[in-house]
Amino acid sequence: MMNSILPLFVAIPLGASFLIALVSRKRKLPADIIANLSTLSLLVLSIIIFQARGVYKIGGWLPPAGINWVLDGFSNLFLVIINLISICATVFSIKYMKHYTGVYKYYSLFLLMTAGMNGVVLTGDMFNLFVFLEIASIASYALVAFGGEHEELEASFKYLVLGSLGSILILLGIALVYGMTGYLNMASISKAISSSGIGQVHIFAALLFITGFGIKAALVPFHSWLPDAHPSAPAPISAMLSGVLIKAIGIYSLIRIFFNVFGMNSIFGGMLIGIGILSMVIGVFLAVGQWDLKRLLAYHSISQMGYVILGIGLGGFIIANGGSLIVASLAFLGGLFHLLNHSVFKSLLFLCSGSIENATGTRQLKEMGGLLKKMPVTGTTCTIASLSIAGVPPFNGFWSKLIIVIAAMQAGYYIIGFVTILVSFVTLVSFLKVMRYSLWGPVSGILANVKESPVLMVLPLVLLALLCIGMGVIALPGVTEVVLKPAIEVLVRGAEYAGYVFSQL
Amino acid sequence: MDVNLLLPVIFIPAGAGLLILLLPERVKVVQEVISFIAGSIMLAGTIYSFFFHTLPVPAPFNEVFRSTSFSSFLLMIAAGFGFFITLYSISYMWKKERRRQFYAFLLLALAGTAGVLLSDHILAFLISWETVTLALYFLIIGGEQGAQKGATKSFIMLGATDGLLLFGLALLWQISGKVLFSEMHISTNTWISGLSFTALMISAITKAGAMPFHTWIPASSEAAHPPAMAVLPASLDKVLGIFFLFTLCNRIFVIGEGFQIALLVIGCITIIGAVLIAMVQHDLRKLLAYHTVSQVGYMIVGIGTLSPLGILGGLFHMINNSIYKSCLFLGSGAVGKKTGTFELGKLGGLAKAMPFTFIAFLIAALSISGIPPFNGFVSKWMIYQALLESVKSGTLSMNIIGTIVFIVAMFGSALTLASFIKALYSVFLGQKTEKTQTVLKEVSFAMWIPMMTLASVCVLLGVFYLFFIRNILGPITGLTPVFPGVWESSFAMVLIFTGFIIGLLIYLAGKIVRSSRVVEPYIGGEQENPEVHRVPGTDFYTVISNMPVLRNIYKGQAKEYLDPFEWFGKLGDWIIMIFKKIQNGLLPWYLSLSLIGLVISLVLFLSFFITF
Repeated sequence: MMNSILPLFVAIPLGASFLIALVSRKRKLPADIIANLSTLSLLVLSIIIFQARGVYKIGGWLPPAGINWVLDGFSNLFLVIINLISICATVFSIKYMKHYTGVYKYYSLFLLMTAGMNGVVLTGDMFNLFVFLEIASIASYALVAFGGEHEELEASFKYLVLGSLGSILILLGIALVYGMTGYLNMASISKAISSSGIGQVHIFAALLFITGFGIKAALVPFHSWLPDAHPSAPAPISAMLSGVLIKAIGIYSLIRIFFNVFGMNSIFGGMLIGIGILSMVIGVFLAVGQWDLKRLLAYHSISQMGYVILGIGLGGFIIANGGSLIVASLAFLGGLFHLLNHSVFKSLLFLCSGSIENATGTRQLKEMGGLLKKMPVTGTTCTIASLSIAGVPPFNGFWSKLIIVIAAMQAGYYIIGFVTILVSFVTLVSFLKVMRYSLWGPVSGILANVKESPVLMVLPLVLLALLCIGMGVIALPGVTEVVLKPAIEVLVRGAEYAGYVFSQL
Repeated sequence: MDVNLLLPVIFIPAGAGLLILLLPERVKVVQEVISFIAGSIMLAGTIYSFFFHTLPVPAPFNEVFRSTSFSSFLLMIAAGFGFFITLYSISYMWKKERRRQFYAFLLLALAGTAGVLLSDHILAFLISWETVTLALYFLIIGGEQGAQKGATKSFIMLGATDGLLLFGLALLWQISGKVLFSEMHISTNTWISGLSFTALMISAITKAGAMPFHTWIPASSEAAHPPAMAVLPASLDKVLGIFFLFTLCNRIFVIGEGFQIALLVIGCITIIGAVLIAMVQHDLRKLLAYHTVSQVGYMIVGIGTLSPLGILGGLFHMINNSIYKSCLFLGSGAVGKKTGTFELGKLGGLAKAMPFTFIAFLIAALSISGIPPFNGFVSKWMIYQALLESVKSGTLSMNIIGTIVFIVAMFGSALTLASFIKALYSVFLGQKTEKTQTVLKEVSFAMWIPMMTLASVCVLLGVFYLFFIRNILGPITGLTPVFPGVWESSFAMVLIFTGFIIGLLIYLAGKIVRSSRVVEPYIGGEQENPEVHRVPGTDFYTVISNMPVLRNIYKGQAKEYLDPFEWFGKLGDWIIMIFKKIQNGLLPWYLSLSLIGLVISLVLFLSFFITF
């Protein structure tokens, strides 16, 4: 029975988290081992159940009273992303975290965050979602502050304040929905809304969700905490935050609620498109002016999340307006594919920045130079990731952006297509800048003795870089059928989600 | 596996390129051997396919790639360049850093070029096109110290126009409903097809390097290795850009007069603008780079005439330009390799020590200046004829524009000659300098054979142009030119040679009976430093840069006012400055920003509901 392993996705990291706190206070080695084993087992599990579908009832209680966890194509995709990046980050942490004290706390928080994210993408209950979301968020507040310096604490405080605002708004939204429909179970809410139609209070709740999850996903204009918080965290955490956290607790929840619970309509779709374009444009222009490598990367996360939301919102908008289902699927494909790609190349970029910072002691582009020669593996993987995010063929980012552009143009939204291309171009400019100043050029005097990072740090870089090169194949029709089609189906079917859940009970 | 066309032209070069990338940098010889073999296979395959038996495109790929006789002809030329450049580089790159990167991306550029020339599907075209851009970036950035600046600028400019290419192609797809170029036939009279044409045209002429989007070429020439310049900006990028422009104007779109005039004007400005800048350059590579730009103007004008003669002239000029321009760049590379400098002021008197380089450079220089009987003359002459024809038959505005373009093109040709007289004098003639004194021997045969081969092709194409146009270029493009007047090249050739031999005899006679004696310069019995009395060629045309109107243009050009890269850079800075105001680091402002977002969306929704 596949469904019975679902609880493991929360139980393993949660258990490992407490175990580490218990046994590894003095020595670092047990923490390394436990953390890596648990993330590895999570990745294996998420791949094993990739084709599985089903509903798990916690304690055997039936909804709407009981909490159920739903495994569908959309959740599967996120599970793989979360756990893939987790294992890369934990492997990277082994050497990277050597210089920090209290590493056991770090791993405990890390695994708590993973547990929270896994819970968010599995649960089929609104309040349960909120609980997991808070677990992941609070763990991430603490992780951002992990360095303990002035800068980190300030960033963490900003993140905490804004994150709490988001949580409050989400909670208020959940309360409103509960008040209107009398349910907390997503499938039941969806059924109730589709029979009663969308009212003004629903709309208000939806707005609260957009704002709340928008803060969690760092979409413009709710993005302002991210450029401080993501660079301040230790590099593997930055990779987790940018690579998966904003997606799992922000984008995922937003999409799940809008598509499967409320049901898509053209106003929501238009809203998502608008937010997507704002994020893309503002994020990228803020990024290109940065000279701090990690900060530059953080701004790009905003911009790239814009792509994801634009693609998915566009698909929803087209369906809601009765447009071509093929074009809508194409837009969904582009959005989801870009989400997958972004988690790979952005984590890779943050890990590269960690590797560079570890070796050179700086994050300022102007203080670097000639690193391709000094750190060949980091330099090469960084080049690959930069070209991926800039959308240069044959790397993965090119394909997903291309699909979004084609979908927009095929739907007749030429301006959206043009803006998408423009933003991609500015992304290219900013990563050419990164490569020009950090990887090429003369080696500056201070960096003459820089060495390549140890094998354990380089290993995840190579793995992710190979994914950047190879993931283009997902765009091929046969592969998409297996990898992304199930998730797209969930979006296309929209409010039929309820029927699916009830049929699986 | 059956022999097919894609194997020698895409799979083997790309595979070999990737293989070289995987080899460690320390390994010597292997990289050269692999690239030489791959280059030879590509050349052999294309020659076989063009002349003997057209190789088929295999099954899953025949939906996206389609070989026509024209594309396989251009493919053969590209492969020829690839082969000669590889041969040349073996010697040139021997002790340089980043050889691995050079060979790998050279092969990938060739594979990408093959992809562009063969692809019929818009996506295959786009991907191949961008592969060439990417390869260009890595080829240039692997150059000397400081190459990263020019390479970054090139990638930014080409990346921007690659974006336009994507936009234009997606529009094409949307308006025609088709994805294959061969099935499209669109008129430019609706705004949307006009927009698509404009976007695609800009990407084509930027790749080719026409003004005002030419600035990446001189920037990248500053520190790139000459073979890298010879292979991409000087030849393959031209071939691709002009090939695409040709396809656009003749196959995909039916263009209106407005666009025709636009093309002519762009061509005309490019011819004169670039040559004026070229005249005042002090660096051999930069001088050549600006001439590369200038020559594109002729091609664009040729295609812009829209008559078979002009289009053939433009295409012929593209082929010729690739030949003599890569010969010139290779010549500059030979000079640079021997002397260690590209500064015209520091060079001089190399003709005796490097005779092959000198002869090849001379022939190529005469070709580019449009001197009969070399190939550059013939193609320019075809373009002039086509211009005059279209002036005769066109509307009033065409008459005026055509006449102006004609005059400017002629004038540009004269300036090109002037500029190359300066270059030839500064590098090969005149007195020896500190840098050139130590040069006693010619470069190795692997370097001069490619140059001499290219130079002899210049002569051959110039003399037998009629055969080439009527029997090869005409049939494969499906165009039949009508020559208003035929230039009797073989008779002229005899006359020119006779004149040359007579001149030589007189020179030799003078040398034998010479009654003067040559001594070192001296003043008042004291030996003088010959360096003081040397006349460098660099200041030949300072008078031009001091002319009243031109002076200001030169000043603006020096300050990069005429560079779209700078315009958009400034615009970008300005946008960044505005957006940075949002991100001021103050928590209260961040909080209120989020709430403002909430309120705005609330207002939007309310207004929606009121309208319902």
